[in-house]
Amino acid sequence: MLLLSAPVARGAQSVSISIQPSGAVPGPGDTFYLIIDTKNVNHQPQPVTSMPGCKVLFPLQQRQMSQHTTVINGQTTMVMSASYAVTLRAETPGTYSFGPITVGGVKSNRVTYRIGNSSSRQGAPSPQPGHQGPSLSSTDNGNLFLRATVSNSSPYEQQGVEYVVRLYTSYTSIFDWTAAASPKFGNCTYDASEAVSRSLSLVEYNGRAYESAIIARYIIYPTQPGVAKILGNAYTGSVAQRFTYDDPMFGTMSRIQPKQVEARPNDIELNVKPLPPHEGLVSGVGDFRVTAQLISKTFKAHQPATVRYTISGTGNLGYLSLPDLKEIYPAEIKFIKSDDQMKKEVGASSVSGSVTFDCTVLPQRAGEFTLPKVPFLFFNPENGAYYTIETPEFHITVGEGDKSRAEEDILVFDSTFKPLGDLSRKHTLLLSYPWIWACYAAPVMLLVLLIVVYRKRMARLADINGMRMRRAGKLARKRLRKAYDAMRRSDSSRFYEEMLTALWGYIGDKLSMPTSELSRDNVSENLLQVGVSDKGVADAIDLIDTCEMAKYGSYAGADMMSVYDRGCSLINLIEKEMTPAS
Amino acid sequence: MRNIFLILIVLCAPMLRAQTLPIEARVKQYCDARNYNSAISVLQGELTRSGSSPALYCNLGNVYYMAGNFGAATLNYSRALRLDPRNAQALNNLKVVRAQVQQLNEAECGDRNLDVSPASPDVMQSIGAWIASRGSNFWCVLSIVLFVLCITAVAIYLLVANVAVRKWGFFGAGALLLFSGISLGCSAVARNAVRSTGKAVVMTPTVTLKSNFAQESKDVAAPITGGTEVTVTDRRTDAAGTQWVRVYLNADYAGWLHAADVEVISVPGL
Repeated sequence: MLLLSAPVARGAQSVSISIQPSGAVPGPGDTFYLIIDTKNVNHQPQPVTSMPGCKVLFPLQQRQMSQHTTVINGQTTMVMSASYAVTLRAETPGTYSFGPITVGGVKSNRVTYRIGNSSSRQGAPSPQPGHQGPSLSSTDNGNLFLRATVSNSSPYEQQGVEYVVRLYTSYTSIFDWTAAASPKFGNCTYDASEAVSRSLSLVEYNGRAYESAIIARYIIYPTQPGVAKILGNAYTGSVAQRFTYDDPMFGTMSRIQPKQVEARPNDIELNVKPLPPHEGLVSGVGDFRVTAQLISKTFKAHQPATVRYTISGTGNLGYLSLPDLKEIYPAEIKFIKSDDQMKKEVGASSVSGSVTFDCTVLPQRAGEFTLPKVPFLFFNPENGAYYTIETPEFHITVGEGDKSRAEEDILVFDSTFKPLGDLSRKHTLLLSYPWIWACYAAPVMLLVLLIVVYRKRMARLADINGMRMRRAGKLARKRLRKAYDAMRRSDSSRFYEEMLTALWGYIGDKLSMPTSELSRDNVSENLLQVGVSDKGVADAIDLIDTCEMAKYGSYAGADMMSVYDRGCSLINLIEKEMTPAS
Repeated sequence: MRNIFLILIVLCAPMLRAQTLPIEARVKQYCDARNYNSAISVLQGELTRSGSSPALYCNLGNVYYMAGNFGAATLNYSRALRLDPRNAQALNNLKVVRAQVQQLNEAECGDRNLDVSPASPDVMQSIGAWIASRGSNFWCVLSIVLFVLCITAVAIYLLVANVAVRKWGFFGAGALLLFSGISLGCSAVARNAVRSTGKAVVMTPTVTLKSNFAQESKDVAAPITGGTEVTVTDRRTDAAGTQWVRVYLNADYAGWLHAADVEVISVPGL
C-alpha cells in the first residue's frame, strides 16, 4: 500500500535513432533497418515513408515495449521504453543522414549511414554442385531451412510430378521472402502452381517444432527417360530474430531483431522411366477424354472446313498431340493443318484443362463421305496402362464449290520441284535493252510516213488533168478490149467505133485537150511537143484516118486485127516516148 | 562374251537412268531420302554451271525450307520473285516461311511486349510494292502497247474526216500518251526495285541486334531468327575492321548486325 501510495516520478524523456546492423555498409538491394528507441514517451513515432538513398519496405513495426519501475528510499521511478523498426532496402550508393525525428514533442538525434557499391549478397557462397542438403547462409543455421520434395521420384516420362518447396523456421516472423533465381528443372517442363501457403503453421520435423509454409509448388513433367536433376533455387528474405534476456524486475524478457537470410532447398534426382512399348503414336500421358465436333455446317468442294477435336482431362496438356489425320482421313478430304488452343488450370498436385485442335480440311470433290473414327492413344501412369478413345465418325455431304477459290486462305507449303526452265547467267529486263526505244520510235516514223503518203495521194487526187493523163492509158486499153470483143464478133462497125473512141480519148486525155480542139493538126503539133517522134505522130494520124475511112466509108482493105495491133502498139509507143515532164 | 556384255548393260542401266533423270526429279529423290545436302549440291552446281532461273531459285528455297534453313529459303524465294514477281509457288512458300519466322521471333520475345511484325509500309511504299509485284517487263510492254494505240489515235485524228471520230482520236491520244508515260515510269520503278540492295535476310539461326556498331554495345530488343527480312539503312566498319550493317524491322527492332549475319537480296546477273 505504501508503494502504491508513494509518488511516482517519471524519468527523463528521450528519443534516439540508429541504423542496424550497426557499422555495416549495405549495398544496393540489401535490407537494413532504422531503429527508433523511445524512453518515457507516450506517443508512437510517425511511420517513416521515405529515407534518402533507400526504399522503405515497412514504415514502422513495433519491436518491443517495456516498463521498468525502481523504488529508492521511497521514491518510485518508472521508466517506459519502446523500440520500433523501419525496414529499408538500400538503393543508391552514397552517404546519407536522416533525422532528427520528433516523437511526442521529443526530438531525436541525427543518424548518418552509408550505402556501398556492392551488395553483401554477391559475396554469399554459391551452391556447390551435388549439394543435397538444405542450407542457410545466416550464422544461426538451423533456425530456417528449405526442404524440397516430390510426389513421385520414379515417374514415367511425361507424367506430372508435384514438386514442393517448404520453409521451416523457428524465427518469430518472416517477411519480404522472394526467390532470387529461377528453378532449374533439368530435362523437365513445368507449370507453376498458385497453391502456396499464405501464413506459417506449426509442424514437427525431425522431432523439433517449426513454423512452416509451402513457399513454392510446381507440377513438373520429365521429357525423357533417365535421370532428371532438379536444382533448388535460392530464396532471400528477412526474419525477425527474438533475443531473450533476464530483467532484474520482470525476469525473462525478449526482444526482436530483424535479420536478412538466404536459403536454398535440397536438390532432387528423378529416375524417369520410359513409357512401356506400344504400337502407334501416343497422344498424351494422363487421364483424358476426347470429343469431336463439326464446326463447319456445310461442306463444299475446294472450300476449307473445320473439324474440332477437344481433349480434356488431367495430365501433360502441353504435349497432347493429334494422330496423323492425313493417314486416317479419306483422300477426298484433304487434311491441311491443325491449330491448337490450350486452357489449363494448375492445381495443387496436377494440371487439368483442355486442348482444342481446330483441324482444317479441304474436300477435293463433291459427294458423300465419311470422316472415320479417330483413335487417340493415351498412357495412364496411375495404373501403368494404355487406353484408346475413339471419336464418333461423321457422315458429310460435300456440295459443289468454286475451284478458283481453292486453298486461297490457307498457307500450305508447296513442296513440288518444277522443271528448271531456261537457265541464264544474265537476266536483262526489257527496259534495259537499247532497242526498246525503237519500239517507241517505229510507230512515230510509221505515222509520219503514213501522213506523207496520204498528203501526196490527196494532192494527186486534186490534180484533175494529171489524173486524166495518168488514167489515159488505162482507159484506152479498156476501150481497145471492147474493140477486140467487137472484132471477135466480126462487128466491124462497132470495132472501128471503139478504136476511134480509144484513140481520140487517149490522145485527148494524154494531151489534156478538150474534144473541141481535137483536130489532126492540133494533135500532130501537141504530140511532137510532148516528145513523140515524127513516126509515132504519123502512125497515129494514119491509124485514125484508116479507122474513120473504114467506119464511115466502105474501106475494105483494112484488116481489123492489124488495126487493133497497130492501136496497141501506138499507145505503147506514145506512153514510152512522152517525156514525164509533159 | 555376249553374256558379259548383257550383264554390264543390266548393271549400268540404273546408273544411266539416274543420269538421265531431270534435275528436279533427282532433287526430289534426295529430299524424299532427307538427303538435303546432296539436293542443294545438285542445284548449286547447276546454278554455277548454267545460270539461274526463277524455278531453280524456287526449288533451292524448297530444299532449304525442308532442311530447316529459313534464312537461305527466304533468300532464294526472294531471288525467284526478283526474276519473276508473279511466281505463284515462290509467293506462296515465302508467305509460309514468313509466318513461321514470325512465330519463332515471337517465341524469342518471351514475355516481353515486343512487336515482331515488319513495319507497316506507308502509302508510297505500298504503291511501290504493288508496282514491283507486276514486274518491270509487264509495265514496259504495257507502255509500248499504249504508245502504239496513242499513235493510232493520232493517225485517226489526222486522217479521218468525221469530226466526232477526230475528237475521240485527239483526246484518246492524249490519255493514252499519259498512261504510256506512267507505265514507263512504273517499269523503271519495278526495275529499280528488283535491283535494289536495300533488303536483306538474316542468315544466322539466332542473332541479337546491337545498339551501335560495336560488339560491346547494348543488345536491342529480343534475338531475331534466321529468315527475318530486314531493311538495310546504313553500313559501317568498326575499329577492328568488322563490317556492320544497320537494319530495321520496325520501331522495336532497329539496330546493328555483323554484315556476315545478313545477306542482301540480289540476283547475280540481273
